[in-house]
Amino acid sequence: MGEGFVPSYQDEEERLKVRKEKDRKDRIKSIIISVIASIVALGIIFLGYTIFNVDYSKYEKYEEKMDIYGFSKVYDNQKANTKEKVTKSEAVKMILSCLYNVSSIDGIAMPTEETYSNAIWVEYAIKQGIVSREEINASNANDKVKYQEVLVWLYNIKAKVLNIEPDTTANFNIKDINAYNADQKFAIYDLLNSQVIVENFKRVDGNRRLYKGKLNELIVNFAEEYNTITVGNAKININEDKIPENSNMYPYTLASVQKDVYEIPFKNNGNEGVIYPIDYYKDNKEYYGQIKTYVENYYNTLLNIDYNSIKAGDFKRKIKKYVYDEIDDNKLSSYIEYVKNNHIKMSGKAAAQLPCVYFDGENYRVRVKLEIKIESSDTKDNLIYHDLESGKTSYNSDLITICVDTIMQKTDSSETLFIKEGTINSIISKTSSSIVSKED
Amino acid sequence: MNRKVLLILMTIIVTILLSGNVYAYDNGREVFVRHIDKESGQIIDGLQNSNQEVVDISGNSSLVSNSTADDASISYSEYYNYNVSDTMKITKTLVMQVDGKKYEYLGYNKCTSPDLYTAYDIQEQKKALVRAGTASLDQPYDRNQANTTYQTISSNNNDVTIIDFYYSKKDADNIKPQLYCNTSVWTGNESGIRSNVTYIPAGEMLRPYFETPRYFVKDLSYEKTIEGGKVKYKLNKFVVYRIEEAYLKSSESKHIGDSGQIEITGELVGDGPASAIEGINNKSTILVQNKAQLTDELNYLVNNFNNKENNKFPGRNEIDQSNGDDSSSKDFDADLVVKARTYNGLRSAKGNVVYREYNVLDGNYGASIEYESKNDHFINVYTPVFLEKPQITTSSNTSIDHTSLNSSTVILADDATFEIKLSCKDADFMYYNNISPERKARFVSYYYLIFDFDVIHNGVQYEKGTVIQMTNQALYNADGATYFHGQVAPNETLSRDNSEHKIIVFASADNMRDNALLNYVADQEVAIQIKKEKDPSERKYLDDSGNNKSNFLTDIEHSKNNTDAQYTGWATLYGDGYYFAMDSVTVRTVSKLYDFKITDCTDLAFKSAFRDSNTNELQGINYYSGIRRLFVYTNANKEVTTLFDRNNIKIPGTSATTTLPLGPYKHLSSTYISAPKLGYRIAFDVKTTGYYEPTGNDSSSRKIGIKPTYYYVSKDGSTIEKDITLYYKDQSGKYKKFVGSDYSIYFKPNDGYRYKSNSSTADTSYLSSKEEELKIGKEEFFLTDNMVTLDDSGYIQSWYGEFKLPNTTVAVKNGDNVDKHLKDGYIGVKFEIICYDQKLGQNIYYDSENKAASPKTNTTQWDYEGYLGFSNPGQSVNENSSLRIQLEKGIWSISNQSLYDFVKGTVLLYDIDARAADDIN
Repeated sequence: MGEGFVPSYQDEEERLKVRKEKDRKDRIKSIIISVIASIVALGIIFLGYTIFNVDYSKYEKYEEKMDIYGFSKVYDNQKANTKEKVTKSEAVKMILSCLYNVSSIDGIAMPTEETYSNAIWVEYAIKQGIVSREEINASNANDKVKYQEVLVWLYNIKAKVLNIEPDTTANFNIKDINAYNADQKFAIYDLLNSQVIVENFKRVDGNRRLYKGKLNELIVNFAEEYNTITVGNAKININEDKIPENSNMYPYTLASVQKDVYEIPFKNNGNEGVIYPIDYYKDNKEYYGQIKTYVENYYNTLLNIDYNSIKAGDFKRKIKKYVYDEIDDNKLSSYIEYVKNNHIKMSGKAAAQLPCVYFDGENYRVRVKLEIKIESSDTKDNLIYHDLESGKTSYNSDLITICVDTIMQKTDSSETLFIKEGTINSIISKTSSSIVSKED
Repeated sequence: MNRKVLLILMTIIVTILLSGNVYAYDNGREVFVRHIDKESGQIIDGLQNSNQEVVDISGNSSLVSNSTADDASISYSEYYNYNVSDTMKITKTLVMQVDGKKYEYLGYNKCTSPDLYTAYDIQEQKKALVRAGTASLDQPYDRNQANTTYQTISSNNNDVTIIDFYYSKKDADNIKPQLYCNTSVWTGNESGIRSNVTYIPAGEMLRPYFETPRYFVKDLSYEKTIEGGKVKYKLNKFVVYRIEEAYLKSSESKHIGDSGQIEITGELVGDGPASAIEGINNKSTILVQNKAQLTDELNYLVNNFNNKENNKFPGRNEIDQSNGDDSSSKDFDADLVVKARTYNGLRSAKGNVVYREYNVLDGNYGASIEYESKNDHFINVYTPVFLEKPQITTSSNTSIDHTSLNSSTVILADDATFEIKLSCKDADFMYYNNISPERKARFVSYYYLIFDFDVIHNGVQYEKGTVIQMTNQALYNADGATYFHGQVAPNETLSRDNSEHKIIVFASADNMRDNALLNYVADQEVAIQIKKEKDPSERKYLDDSGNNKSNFLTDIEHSKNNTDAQYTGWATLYGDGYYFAMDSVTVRTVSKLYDFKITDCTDLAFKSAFRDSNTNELQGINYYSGIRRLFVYTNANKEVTTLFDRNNIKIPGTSATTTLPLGPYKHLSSTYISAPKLGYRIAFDVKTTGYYEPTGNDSSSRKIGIKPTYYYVSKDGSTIEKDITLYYKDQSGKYKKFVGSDYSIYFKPNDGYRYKSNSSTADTSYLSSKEEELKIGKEEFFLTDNMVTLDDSGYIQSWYGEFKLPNTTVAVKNGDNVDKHLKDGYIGVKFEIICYDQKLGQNIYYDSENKAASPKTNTTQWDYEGYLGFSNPGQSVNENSSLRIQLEKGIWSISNQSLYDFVKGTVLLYDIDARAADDIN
């Protein structure tokens, strides 16, 4: 027996009334339950969001650096978007790109017959012992990479390729450190100690799939820490006092370059389309080594002159490789003769002031610091090659340091920059009291 | 602006714009090649190629030379700069070997970059990883890729490429002579056996040689050439070290004390200095033969390796094959002589091989380089002395040896002259076996002889035990032997001793420099033994058997011992590598067995011939063994032996003599022509010499054995049956074979008269007066101690016996029925007479040829004593010998040797047709 029981003495109307009343109570009951359930559900969602939500904002700053350093375009989709996941082969590519500061490894690695994504990078990494074929191969190259894998690979780069002594001291309290094997622990501590990992390190969560924000952090910090983005591993300046006022015009600045050199105004021929170093670097960084070699070798020839031994043939052979225009033998002969007649003997040293390479709207320019010591000369005028060709340049001190923004040009067939020769006076970028230039 | 001005302006603008490109200097591509030793990480000097191949856009090949990069502060092996439109093919080094070193190609790393230094940094990083074993090479060596080529590909025309070819030294110091350079020594007298020890007698030649590459490559490199549009690999450098000469250095001693250097002297053969090399430390140059052949071989290599087409230049395996085969003894032709007086002992043989640079391509020579031999080869100076058994012969005619003794036991009579032949013999020593007797003879310097009796040599008498030194005279005698001539000293009475005497012979090795053998061994020890004056326990160098003991060498020349088994190689060192060999000759006097005669016959018909008709005593008629008498007597205790014709043996009225056999026509009465009849006895005796004292003990006594044999001859001598069987009737009257039967006779040796004719042996004290049994039915019967009489000194003995065939004897041919008696003839009875001397272990045979005679034909005692009138010992019997036996019906002519041999020893002819019983009946 239940609520639906109707005594025999009640009529049909009474029974209907009872039923309606019952239905009304049921509806109220259902609404209450639904409201409570909704509140509980929202609470759970909120709690979950609170717990599992990733703070990507910390990594957005690395996206910009990735662009500046020319690494963003190396990603498979050529974007460094923080939230995007990374594949295994892509991660290997990014690490090698960081190591060699290149966007293509064609010249470094041998071609491979493998056809999976980024195979040439991966195969090379395997040959170099950075990763193992068990870790990454054709079948898993497109799998999403885990954070802990990348940490070990980067650690391998440091220890094996760069041959830098790791620092695996446990200076940090990592909550989930016991979740990792020995290699992973070493990698975590070393990368923390060397400040390659600086964000969200209390809990590594290495088993989670890696997103670009974290990889960007690793790449950028690794590049800066170990100077992989500079030529010859020149040290990046981190001294706040030495940061030039126009540092936003450079991808980085070097500790070895004075900030006032960086602060010398860029030449601008007035045309549109000036490209400052910060923009030039990302697409041309592979050539910075070549640029440095060319300008330094060129000027070292020009600055080291001895009237006793100078020969036109030797001089020409030493510089012709670096210059854009064909050497005018007559002008060169005149200069040699001038050197000999005036017993000019000087020594000097040229240093490209990287990464100060820019496009002034018409020409590419490289800032070069020249240190000159005049050891003997019967004259103070026109001591340097090409000085004779335009006006007169007088050198009033035996020790002279100047900066020039050397003009460089590309050929049609190459990205290589050659020196567009001219007088020192025409390219000098910072006035030196020791040099007086006069127009005839 | 009109159109003309505009055109001019545009032209100017375009000209300006293009001007940069018109004059732009295109650097082309640069390639730096580095040939790197993986182990050291350093560039290997000398591996740079002189050029590389460039292929233009049309596919045409040309060569670009290795040049110098401007202002490149990195080190490199090769540098090339080529047009941007070309492709460059870079190969690994074509320098296969440089300065004797070769490198195994491992693969390469390459890096292309706009910047040399960036590429350099990366290559250095890679190198570090490769060297650490972390990384593999970009392109490891591929066995199937003989021509390792890298084709430069770059999107940027001004890129710089660095190619690092990696190599590893194949060996740490990959010059073969440094790995092995073995001295060996070839004597020309050994073959087939390799060992680390060469045996060489002092004074012999040896040929040191070196097992080392006849040449090995110093520099071998190729360069690319282009012929007909194809790249070929042409030899541009092929320098070898070829063996030029070698020399054996003065040797360091090895386990041989303080002065073990091998001493070499003698003139060099071949092109070497002609002067003799004296002293210890001189080098001896040994030149290489077959230089021309070696040159040919090298030129062949040039032809074989040169001008190889693409992909076929020699790979790393072929390099190995370009080293020469090892030299052998045939490549050296200088023989050296080990100094004659070099002590025996082991020396290490070290040497140097001198190689000289030889440019195969132009035939020019360069600097020399020497390598010392690596192995432990030893020269064992070992001068063997192996004595042939010394042969002693005597020319004395009194030496008659009918004994059974070993032929090496020589009979020396008193006063005998003799000769001892001394020589070397071959032995189980390979070197020794292959050289001439003359050279063998050189190994012996002296012979030493020690006698245990006094001897006279070269007119000087030496007391027994004295060491007589005799220079080896082998070189002067055709047979390579040395002969010692001597005579038994007059004071010796060897014959009386009747025992062995010993002559000890030493031969000393030529390299024995001092008198150690003489002083320590011969004089002291052997002499002591011979004189028996000291206790044998005092012997120092000889064991009881006379062999030199191993410590002899140590004592006479310290530290020259050869017994270190480690260096014995294929053979054990011989026990007599101690400078001398020793042997001995045993000589002795021997007894004689002689003077057999029949002294009686009981045939009634012969009674008158033997006995006095009145007294019945023997009247001294003897039937002798022959017409000659061997007369032996002693004089001053020395044996005197003479042989002379007997007198008074002719039977009056006939041509017959009283010699054996007793038979027809032998009766003193010429009218009685018959032979003794069957059943009658004969009596006989025979003499022996040599001191003898009867003991009656079988083990220490002599005895005379008689072996009778029988044959049939017809009475006319025309028929001879050599194989007959004798039967006699036993007591039951049945025929029984006589030979082998128990048939005996008994006789009384001391019958009072049978010894009368042996006046020299008058001592009858041992002669039995009882009936003594003679088992004449046996194949041999014996005369024993109680049948002997002696001379006064006991030196000569006469032995007595009797014999008969039974009265019932019949003879049938072997195999015939016993009833088929042979008739009309005689039964010839032959005696084989033997003296057994069990004490001396010698037998003397009446029938044996004289071992001391030469030739030995007809030299039995029968022959010497003139049996049947034979008078020419040493010669054969023939028709002219006139040997005959008169028979009743004819003459039995003994006209050939075989018949004489058959008849010889016949003592009696029984008449087969007459019996004693007939007389009774």
